[in-house]
Amino acid sequence: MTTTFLVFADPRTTDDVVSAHAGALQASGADVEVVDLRSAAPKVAPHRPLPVRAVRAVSAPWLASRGLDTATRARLASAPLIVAGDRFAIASVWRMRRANRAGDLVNGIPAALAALRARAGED
Amino acid sequence: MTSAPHLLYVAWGFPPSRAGGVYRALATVNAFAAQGWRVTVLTADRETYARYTGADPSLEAQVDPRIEVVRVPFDWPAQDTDVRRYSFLRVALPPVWHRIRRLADQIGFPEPSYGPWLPALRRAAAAVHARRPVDLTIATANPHVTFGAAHDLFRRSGVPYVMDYRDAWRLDVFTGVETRRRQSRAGRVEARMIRDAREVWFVNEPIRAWHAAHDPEHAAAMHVVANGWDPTLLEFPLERPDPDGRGIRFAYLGTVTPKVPLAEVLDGWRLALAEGTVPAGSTLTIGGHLGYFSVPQGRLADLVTGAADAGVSYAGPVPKASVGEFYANADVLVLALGSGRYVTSGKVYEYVATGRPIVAVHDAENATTSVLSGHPLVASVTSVDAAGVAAALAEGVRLARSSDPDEQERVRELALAYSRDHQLAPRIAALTESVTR
Repeated sequence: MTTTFLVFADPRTTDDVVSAHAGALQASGADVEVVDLRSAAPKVAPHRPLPVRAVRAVSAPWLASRGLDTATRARLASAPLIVAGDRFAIASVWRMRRANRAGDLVNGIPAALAALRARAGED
Repeated sequence: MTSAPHLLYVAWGFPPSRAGGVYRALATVNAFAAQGWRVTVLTADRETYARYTGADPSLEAQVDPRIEVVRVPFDWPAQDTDVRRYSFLRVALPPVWHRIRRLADQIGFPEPSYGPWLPALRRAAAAVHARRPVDLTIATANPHVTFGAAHDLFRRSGVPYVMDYRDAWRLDVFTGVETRRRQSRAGRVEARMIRDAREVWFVNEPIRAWHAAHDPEHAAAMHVVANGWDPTLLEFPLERPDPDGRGIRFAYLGTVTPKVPLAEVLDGWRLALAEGTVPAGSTLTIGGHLGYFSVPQGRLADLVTGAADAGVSYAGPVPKASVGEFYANADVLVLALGSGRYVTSGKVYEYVATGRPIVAVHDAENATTSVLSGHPLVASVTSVDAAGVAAALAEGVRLARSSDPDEQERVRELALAYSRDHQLAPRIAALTESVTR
């Protein structure tokens, strides 16, 4: 079983999506732990002016990544696989690249499944 | 010319790539080698396929050992899923990064993603020519950057070349819409390359006719070299099973692209089972990659998984060396294709060679219709929807249980006409004569 951290940071990502993606990884032999940063990212209200929405959209992933607490960060640093489950989560995963120099840091569930298959092949 | 002529073949996808166009490339170089040509292939490195499109290692053994393969490293940042390799700009402003990337890709050659490969291809082609003079280049597309390398060698050293279109550059084969105008940069580059080409090959007559109509001055150099089935990769003839007294084993083999009407096939399958026109215990096995890339496309995977309760299973990618076994375990084959009069299928020829009845799920305008027109064991849909598919599946059951020797003989004759070497032979003969005289 590969310990896999699945990170979500977009407030628009629903619980159904989170459980479906976690289930897909578990079915492929991952020991999944969900890192939920969705509440740490500001919601971008559609009625706000375009410049405001643009600034929010750019800053939201970084603000969400600040929601990682020290304990979670320490566990991510030694994780063999960290997966960005949505677009906003890429920034959080990317910020772990220096702390975690050995694990796979991937974008998306299909890439995570491929990484799990590769790890299974190595075993 | 006393020594063997030297062919330089330029292709992005070549074994161990599992992409659809690889089989045409493989058959072409093997056919030239078998006719006494010395063949050098310029292609991408193995890691490219493993990382992006998926690889079928069994295919490398099918390359004639006399052929030299030169691998040119290829980078495809837009498809990279390794977050560790992302730049700050890509993480912070993804749309901006993609826009800049797309523009930068096309500085040297007007083709996103592949344009930056041209300088390395040019150098590799020049090095091959310097080591042993090339008599003919064949470049196969897409990607069209391969044409750029062939054209460059022509301009610098006068080496004649063939453009082999497996698809089209300025024509969307699914919609029939012209995607780039002739006056566009890509259109102008293509026009120059067609003007200088010794021959231009297309996979079917509708695509050839479109290009001939748009470029009548060079229509005489345009030829149809249809895809075919590969006798070296498929047992022929395949023994026909007797499905009496049991469920029918339907099977689909091929890359399931988003253009394939998979949802309609599965809806029709459920309907036919519910109506009892497909007997209980029947199965539908889907083999091949789900999507163009090595990682399965989520929506397609969900569709297949969701139909597991109806006897639908996913066999995963099938190595080329195992396709004969896959077909041997099927009673009826399902040919599901995207719509469009310019759409052709490489898989249809293999389907014909198996001798199995075919359930054809595509619109009548599809270029594949003409390939199957002489086939006596085809159940075509009247419409690409659940009801149409269900009716065709029912007809497939009837065909699977019929065993008319005359029909079998007609299928066999059709299959022989569609073997890959049969398609290539006239062009190889003509090109051999033109470079050796």
